[in-house]
Parts: sequence; structure tokens; C-alpha cells
Amino acid sequence: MSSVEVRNLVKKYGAFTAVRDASFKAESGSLISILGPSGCGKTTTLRTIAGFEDITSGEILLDDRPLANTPPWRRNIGIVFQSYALFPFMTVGANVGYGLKMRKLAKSDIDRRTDEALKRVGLPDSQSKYPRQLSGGQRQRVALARALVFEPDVMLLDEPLSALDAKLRDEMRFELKRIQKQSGVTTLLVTHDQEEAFTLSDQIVVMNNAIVKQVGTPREIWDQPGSAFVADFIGVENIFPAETVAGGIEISGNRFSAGSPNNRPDPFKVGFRSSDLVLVDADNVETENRITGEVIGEAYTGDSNVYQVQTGLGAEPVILKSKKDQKLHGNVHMRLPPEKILVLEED
Amino acid sequence: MLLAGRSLSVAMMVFGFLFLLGPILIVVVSSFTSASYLTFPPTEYSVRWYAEVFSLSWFTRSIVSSFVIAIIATAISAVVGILVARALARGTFKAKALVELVVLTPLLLPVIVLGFALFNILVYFALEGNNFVNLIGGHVLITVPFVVRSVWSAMAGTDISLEEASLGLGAPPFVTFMNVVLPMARPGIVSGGILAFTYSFNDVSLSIFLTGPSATTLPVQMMSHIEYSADPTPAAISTIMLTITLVIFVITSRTVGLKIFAEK
Amino acid sequence: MPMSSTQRDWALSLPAFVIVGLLAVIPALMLFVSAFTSPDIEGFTLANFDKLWNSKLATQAFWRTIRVALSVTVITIILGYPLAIGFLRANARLQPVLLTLLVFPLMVSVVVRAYGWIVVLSPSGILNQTLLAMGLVSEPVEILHTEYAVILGESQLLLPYMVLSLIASLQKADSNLEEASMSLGANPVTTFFRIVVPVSVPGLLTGTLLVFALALTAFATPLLLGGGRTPLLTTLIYTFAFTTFDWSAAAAVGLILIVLALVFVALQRWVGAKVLKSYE
Repeated sequence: MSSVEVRNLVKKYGAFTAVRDASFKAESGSLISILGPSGCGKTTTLRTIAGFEDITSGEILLDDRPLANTPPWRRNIGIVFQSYALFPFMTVGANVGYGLKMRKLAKSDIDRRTDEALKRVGLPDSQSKYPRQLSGGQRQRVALARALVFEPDVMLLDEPLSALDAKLRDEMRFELKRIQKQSGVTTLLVTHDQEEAFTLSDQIVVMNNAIVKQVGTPREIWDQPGSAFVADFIGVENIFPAETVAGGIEISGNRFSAGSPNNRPDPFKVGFRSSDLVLVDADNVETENRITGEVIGEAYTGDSNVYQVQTGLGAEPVILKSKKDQKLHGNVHMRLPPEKILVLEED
Repeated sequence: MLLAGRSLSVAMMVFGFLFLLGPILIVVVSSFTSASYLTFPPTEYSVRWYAEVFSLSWFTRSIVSSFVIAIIATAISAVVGILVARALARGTFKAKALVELVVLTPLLLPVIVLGFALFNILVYFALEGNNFVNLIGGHVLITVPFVVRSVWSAMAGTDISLEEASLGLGAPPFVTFMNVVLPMARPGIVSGGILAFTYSFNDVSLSIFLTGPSATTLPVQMMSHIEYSADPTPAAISTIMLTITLVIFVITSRTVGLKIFAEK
Repeated sequence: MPMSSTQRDWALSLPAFVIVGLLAVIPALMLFVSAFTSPDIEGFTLANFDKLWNSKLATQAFWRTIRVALSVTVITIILGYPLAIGFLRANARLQPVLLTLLVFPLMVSVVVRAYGWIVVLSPSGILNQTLLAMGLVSEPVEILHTEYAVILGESQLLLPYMVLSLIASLQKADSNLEEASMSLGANPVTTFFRIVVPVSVPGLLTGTLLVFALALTAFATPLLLGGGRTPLLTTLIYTFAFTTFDWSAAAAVGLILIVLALVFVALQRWVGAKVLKSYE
């Protein structure tokens, strides 16, 4: 197992910069995700690690050893492609054994290790089938087996679950985690799906517009999204520009008490989750951090009701989530607990 | 009204197919005559003219050299065509448009003019006597574009991740080319090869300028023979050529499908 | 030192580039030179073209070439529509058979196909035997070695291209269009001209350009069916090269054919890029 480190990586295509000064490190045996919308540079980053793209400047280190001059076929990196890229004219066995054959292993060793790898991904006895005879989930497993069978130093996964339907995706997510933990291979996963990143990763790298916005554990990113982009991308519904005033902050002239003003960027925004708003009675006398508004839209999800509430905080309505048996209409009163206010850097 | 319209259109369709295939069928049937002139339908059937054809030395010589030339030209076209198709499908070099233009030139220019131009330059360098080599060179020239086009489109339609997967699994570029790129382009290579062979085997417009005492091809020989003989030998030769075509045709429809001949 | 990607691309391109360059591009450029030079005159000259312009044989061949190509195009259009529509209306089991019958002739040697017409059209051929036997004519009709024979032969040669172009465009059209038209009160003939033809315009256009261009450059068919009495531009090159040994004149005719062919390539590209786009 090896660690992978990306240091000040820059990748330009002519005048276009795909990756701008990206740095992060995947510790040996860990799973790290690069999370971001399409076109943010996450796949380019992955492809530079695989060696399919030259880098403009910066370094990629495998166990502190620079990779720049190593061609892809000598990097010993297992890759699972978004399309799986299984060789259609080869059997499953030949696909999985391909990497071993390239490493000039004896036929008997290739067969034995291919069998083991297929067993490990839950597809024993499928050696002689062709990829077209397999379902999407099975192809995914073959692709994983092929990437892992030669004991790579690192495994790279490009949107590994995007081609599967929702139910299979949930199932494969657990499988992926199990296989990765079992093999202990350092894994780097690229995804645009925040749920995937949060459930699978030890570390998450959030990217946008070629820039790494934040690196942290899922917990850190969930609790302290650093910027308005990250907060929005991980699903913080309510984000408003704010400014510091004596004893707190102000959003469009409404004063709130908030945490310490230290380390607060300037200018900044604040964010809060719909589920963190607490409904209060109209006659409640406590006025601190109170938000009042009128319900202008509603939607029912399975276990909760979601409301759009027009308030004095801005033109954008506040999103509020209530329990499913709690129907709201007309004017509503909410309290925003100070510890739930997220201070966000403006992008 | 509808019924009348339908039977009219069926009748026109039948007429169209008769126009297309009738003369060919008539040749085949009348080649089996026992008479020394052509009649349709023959009053008496025999294979006498086939025996006659196989005893003609020019026939056996030219059919063998037609095959040899077509096979060698197709092989050369396939190799150089696959290489340049790879560069055109995946390359990023600036001269790509120039290479495309030059390599596909034989498709843009009338073959008869190409033939005369080639003949002209061969005479200029006093090389017109090397009929065999000249025929192979000329046939490579007119068949390369077919290989390039079909292999190029097969390669361009291949998911590039397959190559990257192979590289990532430890196969160096040449090994990847042999193991992944070529098998993925196989349908294009087969279509290109069949097209190349068919065009080479059937060509007259170019070959007529390149044949000579030391090497000639069957269609060219047959063409000069038609002009001087009224007996049914050309009918028998036509039927033999049709049979060869039919074999290629069946191979084609079993492997890559007939659509490949629909484009020109 | 590993190759750069540009070096690699050139290495891959070089064999084909050199072969075609040496055997096609350079000879074509040399043809260009010899068309504008003459053994009797120093420097570049238009003498060869002037000679063609004043030669009855050459001007007749030029106009005959155009006339034949036009006639062939018209005939393939008239015969092409019933075949294309018939193919599309045929059931799924019949379609592969019809496609086979359409495509097979394309693979057959042009010499064989022309010979088929010789057998049919010659003075002692099937057609004349039949006509004489039926007493419709008293002496054989002379069709072989006339322009009509060339037109017939080339029409048969090129008909499949027209049909396949028409099929390609008609296939894309909604099959309900015809039914919709008839349900709105149009009879089959009106429907054909008002609905089917407009829908097939892209295929008609590509088919027409293709057939016309191929008819201009056909060689073996006019040589066998037209003979020496009815030369076209292509057969004229052959005559100049091997009968009169006037290679400068052959080069000049070749150049005219190249120009015609390139005009059609340009037209095809232009139609493909501009006109057909508007139908998508």
C-alpha cells in the first residue's frame, strides 16, 4: 500500500486551466473522494494521477516518489473507468487476468489469482462469460476485480456508480466499501454525488472551477463547510450574505447573535440547514434570532414537509423542514439557534 | 384506386430489378449453351464453353495474376491503411488535414485520369515495363482510401477508455495496439479489406494503363477479348467472375454486412 | 528518447502518405504540367485546350458526356423511387433479400455488367432476336455502340447508388406521413408528389450528385457499349493515349475531368454541410 500526494498540481490546455494549484494527500490504505460538479477538474486530476495526461506544473508523489516520468503502464495503478472499459472481445477471465499477463506471471498463477479476485467481488464461475452477458452491476464488479487483481499501489475510480440505477447504486456502495477495506488499497474516487462521497470516504476533496475548495473528513465538511459553494454543494439550503455588527451579525438588517467573530472572513455569508430551524409559537416572547415570514410554497417528501417561507432576510425564500404531521400555512415563526449558523467564505 | 396504385408500384419495382439483374442473369444462363454463338434461352445446354475457357492460356494466366495482385495489394493497403487510420483517428498533429487530403486523393480524382497520369510518369522514368510491380502499386493506390475510411471510422467509434484501461493494466503502447486497438477495429479492417480486394480484383480503368506483356489482369483481358470474339467464352468467364464475386459477397454478408458496399 | 506524439503520428502516416503522394499526387501534378505544355511550343501554353476546343471529336465527346450523365441521372431517379419505396414497404423478411439484390450488382465487375448489355443489345442479341421473331422489325435495330447503349449500361451500373440514397432519406421520415396525407383526402399520386418526394429531397440530392459524378467518370461501360464511334471524355483519354498517341491532348482532357470531378466533390461537401443541415 502506498500514499498518494498531489502537490500544487496545475493542468492547462492551451489558455484553459483545468486544474489550478491543487494539493491533497491520500494516506496509505485510505479512501479519498474528489467531489465536485461536472467540469470542475476532478476527472482531469484523476487522469494526471493515472498518467493519461501530462501535468503542466506541480508534483504527484507515490510514497514520496515523484511519478512525473513514469508512463501509465509502469505506474501500477488500478483504474475503474466510468464506462468500466471492459474489453468486449475478451472473456471475463481474460479481462481480469490481463494485468497479470502483462506482468508476465505464469499461466497457473494468473488463473488462480483471477479466480480469487472474481470470488472476492462475488462473481465466482464467470470466467468464461463475455462482458455483454453481464448486468451493469456485474460489469462493475468485474472492473473492480480487474483493477485489484494485480495488487496495485493505488486504485482510481471515475464515477464508479453513475452508470447504475438507484437501487443497485446503494447496494454497490456497500460492496465497494467492503472490497476496498478488505484489500486495504489506497483509493481515490471521483464523484459528483455528495452522498456517495460522504458515505464512502475517509477524506473528501471538494473542487469547483479547477480549484480545490476544501479538504477534510466527511464530518468536518458537513459541520464546517468553508465556503458558500461547498455549503450549497453539500445541500445547505439557506445561504445569505451577512455582515458583522456589535454583538453578532446582520442579515439584510436583521440582527442575530452568532458564535465568535474571530476568524470570520470579510465579506462573508451565513448558511443554515432547513432542518436546523426551530418552529416557535407566535406568542413566544423570546425575540432573539427570530425569523418571521409567510409560507409561499410547499412540497411533501416521504417523512417531512418542506416549505418556502418569504422572510425579511432576502428575496430568496427560506427553506424550512417540518415533521410530516405538522402542516403549516400563513405566517410562521422560527428560531435560528446561534450554534447552527455556518459562517461561509464568499466565492 | 389504392389497389391500382399498389400493383403499379409493384410492377415498376419488378421492372427495376429486371433492369438491374436481367442482363447478368441472361449472361449466366446463355453461357451454358452448346452452340457456338449466344442464344437465350439456349436450345441445348452444355458446359463446353467452360472447358474451352480453362484451356485458354490467357485466361488461366490472367485470373491467377488478378488474384495475386489483389491479395498483395490488399495486404499492403491494409497495413499502411491501418497505420494512417490510427494517426487520423487518435492523432493530434497539425498536418492531420493534409495527410487526410493526400491519402484520400484517389477517391476524389477519376480513376481513369489517375491511371493515365501514373502511366505518363512511369513512361517518363522508363518504368512502364514492370507491369506486375506497377499493377500492385496502382492497386494499392486506389484501395488505400477504402481501408483508411472504414478503419478510421471503426477506430474513431471505439471508447478511448479501453486503450487507457490496457495501458493502466501494464501494457505498453505497442502491446496495447496489438491487444486492444486492432481487435476493436476488426470490423473496419475486415470491411476495408473486402472492399479493397473487390475493387482491386474488378478494376479496369487504372489497370488498362498498367498491364502489359509481363502481367495483366482478368477484367482487362476479358475486355479486349469481348471486342474480338462473338463466341460464348466471355459469357463463361463472366459467370466464373460472378461466382468469385458471390463467394466474397457471402463472406461479406456473414461477417460485416452488406452496407459496406453502399458507400462510394 | 521517446517519440513525441507528433513524431509518432507522422511515423504512422508516412507509408500511406508517401505511396499516395508518389503514385497519385505527383503524377497528377505532372499531368497538370503536360496539359499546359506542348512538344512544339516553349513554356506554358493553352495550345492543347485550344486544339480540343477546335476538335469536333472532343467537343462532341464533352457534350455527349454531359448528356449521358444527365440522362443516366434522370433514369436512375425514375427507376429509383419505385425500388426505394418498394423496399421500405416490403416486410421484414423480404427486406434483406431486396437489399441483397440491390447491393450484389455493385460488387460485380463493370466488364461483366457491360457484357450483359452486349448480349442483350447486339445485332444478333436477345432483343433483336425477339423483335425479329415477333416480326416487329425487319432488320436488327442498332442500339449497341450508340449513346443509348451507354445510357442504359451506366443507368444499370449506378441505379443502386440512387436507390440506397433514397432509402436512407425515406427511412428517416415518419411512415405515418403518407397515411396522414391520405386520411386528409389526398390520393396516392398526390401523396407521392406532395409528401414522399419532399421528404426524400436530401437523398435525392445526394443520390443525384453521386450518380452524376460517377456517370461523368465511368470508363469501361462507355468503352464497351459506346465503342469508338461514340467517345466520351473518359474514353477519349484512352483513345488519345493508345490510338493517336497524343499525350498532351490526353492530359488536357484528364485535367478537364479532374476539374469536373472536383467541382462535384465541392458541391457534395457544400450540399452536405449547408443544404442537408436544414432538413435535420
